[in-house]
Amino acid sequence: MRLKRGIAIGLSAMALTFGAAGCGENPHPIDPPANFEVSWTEMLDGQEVTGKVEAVPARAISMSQATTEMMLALGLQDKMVGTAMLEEEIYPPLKEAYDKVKILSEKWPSYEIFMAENPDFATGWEVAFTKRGIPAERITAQNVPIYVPASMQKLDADLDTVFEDMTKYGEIFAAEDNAKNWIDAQKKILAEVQDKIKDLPRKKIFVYDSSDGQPFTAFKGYTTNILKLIGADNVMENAGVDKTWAATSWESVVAADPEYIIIADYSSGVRNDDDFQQKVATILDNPQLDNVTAVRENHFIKVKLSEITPGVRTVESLKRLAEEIHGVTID
Amino acid sequence: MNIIEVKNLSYVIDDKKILNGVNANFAEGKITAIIGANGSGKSTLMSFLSKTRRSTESVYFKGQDIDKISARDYAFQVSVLPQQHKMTADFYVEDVVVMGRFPYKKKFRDYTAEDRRIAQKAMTSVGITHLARRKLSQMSGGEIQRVLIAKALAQEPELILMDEPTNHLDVKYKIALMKTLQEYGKTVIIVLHDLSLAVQYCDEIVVMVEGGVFAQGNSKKIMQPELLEKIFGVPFVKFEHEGRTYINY
Amino acid sequence: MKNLYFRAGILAAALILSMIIAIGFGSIDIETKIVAQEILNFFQGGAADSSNAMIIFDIRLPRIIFAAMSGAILALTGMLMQTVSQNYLADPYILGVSSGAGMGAVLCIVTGVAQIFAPYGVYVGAFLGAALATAIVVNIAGSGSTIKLVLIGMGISALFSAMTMLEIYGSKNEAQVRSAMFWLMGSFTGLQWQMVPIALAVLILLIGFIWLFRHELDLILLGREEAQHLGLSTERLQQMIVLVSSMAIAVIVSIAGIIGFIGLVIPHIARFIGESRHGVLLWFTSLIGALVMVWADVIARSMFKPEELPIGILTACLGAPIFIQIINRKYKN
Repeated sequence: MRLKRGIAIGLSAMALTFGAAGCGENPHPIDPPANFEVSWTEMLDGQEVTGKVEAVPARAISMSQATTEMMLALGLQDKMVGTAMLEEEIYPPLKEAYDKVKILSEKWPSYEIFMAENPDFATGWEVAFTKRGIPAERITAQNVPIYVPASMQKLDADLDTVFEDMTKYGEIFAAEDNAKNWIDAQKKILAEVQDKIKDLPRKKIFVYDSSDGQPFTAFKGYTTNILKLIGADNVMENAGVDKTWAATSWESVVAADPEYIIIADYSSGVRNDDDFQQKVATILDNPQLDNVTAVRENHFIKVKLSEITPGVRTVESLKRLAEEIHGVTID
Repeated sequence: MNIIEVKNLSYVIDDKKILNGVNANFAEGKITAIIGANGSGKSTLMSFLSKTRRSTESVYFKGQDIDKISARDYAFQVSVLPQQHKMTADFYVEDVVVMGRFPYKKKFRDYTAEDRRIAQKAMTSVGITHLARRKLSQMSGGEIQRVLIAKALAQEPELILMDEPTNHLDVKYKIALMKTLQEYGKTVIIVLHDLSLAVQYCDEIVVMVEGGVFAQGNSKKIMQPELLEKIFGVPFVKFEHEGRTYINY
Repeated sequence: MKNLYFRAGILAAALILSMIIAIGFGSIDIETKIVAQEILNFFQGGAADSSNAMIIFDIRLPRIIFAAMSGAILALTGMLMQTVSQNYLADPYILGVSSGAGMGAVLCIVTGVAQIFAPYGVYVGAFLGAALATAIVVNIAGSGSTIKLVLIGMGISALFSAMTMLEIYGSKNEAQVRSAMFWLMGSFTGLQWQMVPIALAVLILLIGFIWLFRHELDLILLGREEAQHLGLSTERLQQMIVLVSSMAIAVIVSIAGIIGFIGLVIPHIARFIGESRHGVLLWFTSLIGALVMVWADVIARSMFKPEELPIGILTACLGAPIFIQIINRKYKN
């Protein structure tokens, strides 16, 4: 019951923010000045690469869903000629804009399909630009710059990193105002949430992605850092593992005794949550975990992976998570 | 004149003396057989003569320590026929025989027409001309043995070292081989099991017992039943038939 | 002899024809008519900035040429390894040389050493890894039995794969890690013209080396001792083979990744169609290797449109059964 209500609130809130940010119906970005140039550096395949645009890209390709959503949130669909690798349902407020851009492939497109669009800018998670997708050097060799948002690369990324990335997209596409508006709107919502929970005690949480005997979890980085913003402390943060996501043991979960378990739901579709239910059942069936507070009190929270990884959904999901973890209602 | 002199050659492996101070002389232009029981060190001695195993100041070729002779220079004068062949490739017979000309070949160049002619001659002398375009995989062990003998002859050496070359051969080819070696007229050192062949075709005999040279000399003189009985531990008979000497046990 | 020239001629013609046909395949459908037209335009020096021309001349052509050359390089390297080990089951993949190159490359990426020698860091790492693996295999297995060599090769392959995994686990950067995993998988995706001269240089080096030493290589196949008795210094030749083949494998692994079984299977076919002498085998191995790789790449590009299949998976699917068949036939007694 609570969960469903949470979703409903989350969804309506999303729509609301979106309207507030004014991204759905964005005015066209203004023409850039003549000496327009934006550059950045990336680590791709162990090599430092400098990316640079000397004109506003007009034929951008986004190779990952999170970057697609980031661009669409800035109203850049007119500057895009292709998207790829849709892993979940597209963020509903961006659906309309998303449908205006050609889908190159369900997964990553072949080099030929990619190049046939004659792109002048590429963005996505770094993995999209490795051999699994299209190797970065093969793209840069054709003078197509690659931009991988810093929030997707830095071990200590947090919400501000995403804001900086959005600012960078704004600079690259000469849409700084859109970026600023969007960031301000996000900050405003977050401030409201934080104000509401500022006097409540902090909670211990454990993030559970999947299991093949051992649970796969978030240790450090973005996920842990954003949850801190709403008074939720990842019990694995100081486990001594310098990685974002990796495997841990059930034993250390028992020792850490989290009050809430946040579970990544891989079910497809918004209404379907089979995957989540299955994972909850697995945890409940594990006698080792009987004395964990979260299990005893049945404190399981469902998230989509995209809600706790870098992207435009973070603040919205933080709002919902804050409501569920602290048992409050915001607005 | 000795082409090879072995002076006090010893070889120890795992505390076991395989060769125990071997002294032997091999006369130029003669066919010398090395005989002895299994494990008496015949093949090991051969491996030192062929430079397969290294020795210093023990084996002299024409008065020179063979350790000081380069593999290439030695190959000009000595050809070696191993006990077992380890060929992986499926070459044509004529291509294997011409490889005997390798020491003479100019670097990076092909074998010349002259090389091919010499190879042809070698094939004729062991009677395998008709097999020239056959592949090794289609041949019996005995045929391959003859191919390798032809290759050794094509090398035009001063000295031929052979370790049990008659193993895979039919009687007819054993005799043919020994005759070919006689006709070749150069020095041959050959390990033989067949004592009749040794006494009939070899000029000299070196008898090995327990890693040392037990006796050495003219084959007719050495090959006496009394001596052989001491070496092999069984009684021997020696008889003449139509002018040939036979040794049997 | 004439017969050999004839057969080699047919193979060469088939290769050229295949490469032309291969231009028509890809994730984007371009009609044969248009392909032909674009090629014609190119020779007449006509306008070449249409998107079709870009796909044909900047994407497909360098890739096809590289695929052909890498097929020849892998097959020749396999041939060299079979000769040096006197073992027809040898191949850079089976002996763990490719894993060694992969390990070296990944180590360079993960530790950031690649930065030092940029942009050739990955090549340097791959070369050192390949040379290490080859040296280990050749020294340990030496002239031992076929089975011993293959088993030691498998051990080395497993060792280097495990070391690669270790490097990956030790790395903090996840994307690098994923990238490293896929380093191991061969693919010709997005091959650029710049890489064609590199492969060409390696191919010329390899062919030149084998041609100059064709008779010496033949001699090795008589057996190492036999070769020494004929005055050949096998050790030096062996060292040169290790060096040359490590370099060749390093370049292919650095650019494309690990592509198995081509080196194993092609020399067998070449010996069957041509003959065993290296002076002849060299040409048949190169031509057949190139021909097979061009078609393998066509399948890889067009089987799962609009994505593509990494060619390493494909060659393993085709090559592994042949490997098993060779063992089965050789050891049926």
